[in-house]
Amino acid sequence: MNEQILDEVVARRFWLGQLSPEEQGRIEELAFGDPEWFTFLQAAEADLIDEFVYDDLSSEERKLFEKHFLEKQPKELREDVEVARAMRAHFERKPVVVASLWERFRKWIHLSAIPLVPVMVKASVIIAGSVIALFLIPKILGPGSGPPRQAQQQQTPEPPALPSPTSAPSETPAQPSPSPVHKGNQNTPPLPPRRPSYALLVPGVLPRGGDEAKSVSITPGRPTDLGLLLFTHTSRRNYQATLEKLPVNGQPLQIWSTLTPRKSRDGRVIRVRVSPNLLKSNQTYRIVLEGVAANGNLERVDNYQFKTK
Amino acid sequence: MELTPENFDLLLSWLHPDPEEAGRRYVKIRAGLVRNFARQSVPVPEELADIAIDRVAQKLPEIIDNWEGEPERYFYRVAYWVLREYWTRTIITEELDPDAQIPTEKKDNRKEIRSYCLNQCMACLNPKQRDLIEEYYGGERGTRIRRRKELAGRLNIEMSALRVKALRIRKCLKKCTKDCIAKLDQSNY
Repeated sequence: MNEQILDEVVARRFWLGQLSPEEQGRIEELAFGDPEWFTFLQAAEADLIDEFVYDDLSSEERKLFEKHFLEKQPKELREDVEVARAMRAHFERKPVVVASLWERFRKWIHLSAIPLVPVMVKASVIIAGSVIALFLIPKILGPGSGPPRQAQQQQTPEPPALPSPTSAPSETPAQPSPSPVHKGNQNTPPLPPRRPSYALLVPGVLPRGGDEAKSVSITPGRPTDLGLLLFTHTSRRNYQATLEKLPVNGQPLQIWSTLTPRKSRDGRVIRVRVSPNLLKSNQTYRIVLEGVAANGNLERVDNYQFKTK
Repeated sequence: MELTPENFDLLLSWLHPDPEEAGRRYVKIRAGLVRNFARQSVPVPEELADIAIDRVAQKLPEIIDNWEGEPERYFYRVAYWVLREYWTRTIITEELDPDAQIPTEKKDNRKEIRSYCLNQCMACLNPKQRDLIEEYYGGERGTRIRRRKELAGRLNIEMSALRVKALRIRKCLKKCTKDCIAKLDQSNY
């Protein structure tokens, strides 16, 4: 009977102030009378605090949390939130956040605290800068100038013809150097592009004859990840994704369980990154997408099959 | 806040119009409160029972007209919040290494102090607890639930039991952090 009264969902509603006074009271009685339910309720509270601190609450839940938890609880009880924040910072060990160029620009253009610098003046500075960048710089650099990378290649002298035991020519492209500095006088073959390749997958299984749209081209040994965009109709706050290999005969074989899905703003497309080392050519794979329900349980959302070439 | 004689009389009359019967009910309710606080492993159950009764008496003028049902139930509801408050203030500390010293460096920023103290307190946890809490809370958001399931599997316990374990360690960290902040505050003034 107790389980009917109190479960994860009810516990969340308890802390968010979404229960009627009668239901609220019943839970208080239950938790006071039974240490296990008391702990259960505390654990639900801790989870909710975590979700608040990690920005995992929906906007409605966030509002309720701020209204019913942060405002109504005594100061001592609210300290849990501060501790959770400190814990998040500790575990994430976030580097110092540097504002992006766009953010800095936005801040600068809205700098209304200085009345002597009106927005129009700023705008004209930007326009003048753009004109200089577009017309004057190419003229100064001459007709042969191009993007920085090309310019660098032009300045780089051809590698010496002398053979070296450490720079023997190889058919396979070299792995990218961990150091960002490339010395111009070294015989370094061109680096492969670092951009990940993407493929959009829709839910479901492959048709019998194969489906070109769901075939994913992979390059063995390519240093960049393969991005799979999973189209979904079901929206969840968070997702888990598992990569499975589907043998011709037999059960699916789990390859990797810790793909980190990221969802698009509208929640319709989930992006997962797969290391090419996990995949082999001419195989069928499946990504099992699971969503985190309101009660914290995982629910299967969709399966996405694809073949590698 | 003290319990006034007027409040206490109102409380007794709420329990029963007959003073003798009211007295018997009062004793029964108090015994029930003490028993439940003791079941919740509170070392001072009688003290908390009295705090709960005081709070009911103070709150009674506001609720007496609209209350339906047994008065005992209202006592239990108030007692829940007294218990929660108690555990927030008094938290078991024996899980932490008692020899670990918290240095008393001067820190002026509140957030910085909390973060500093948390780091110190993490170091005070025993390695098993530290590993558990780091695995429980660390890593990327998207994989947290799965990792917790894997952790529960490795420890051969249910997810709910893992949550409770994490909750206990977290409580220890909270208490330790609070003590550390208080120490630093003292050293600053």
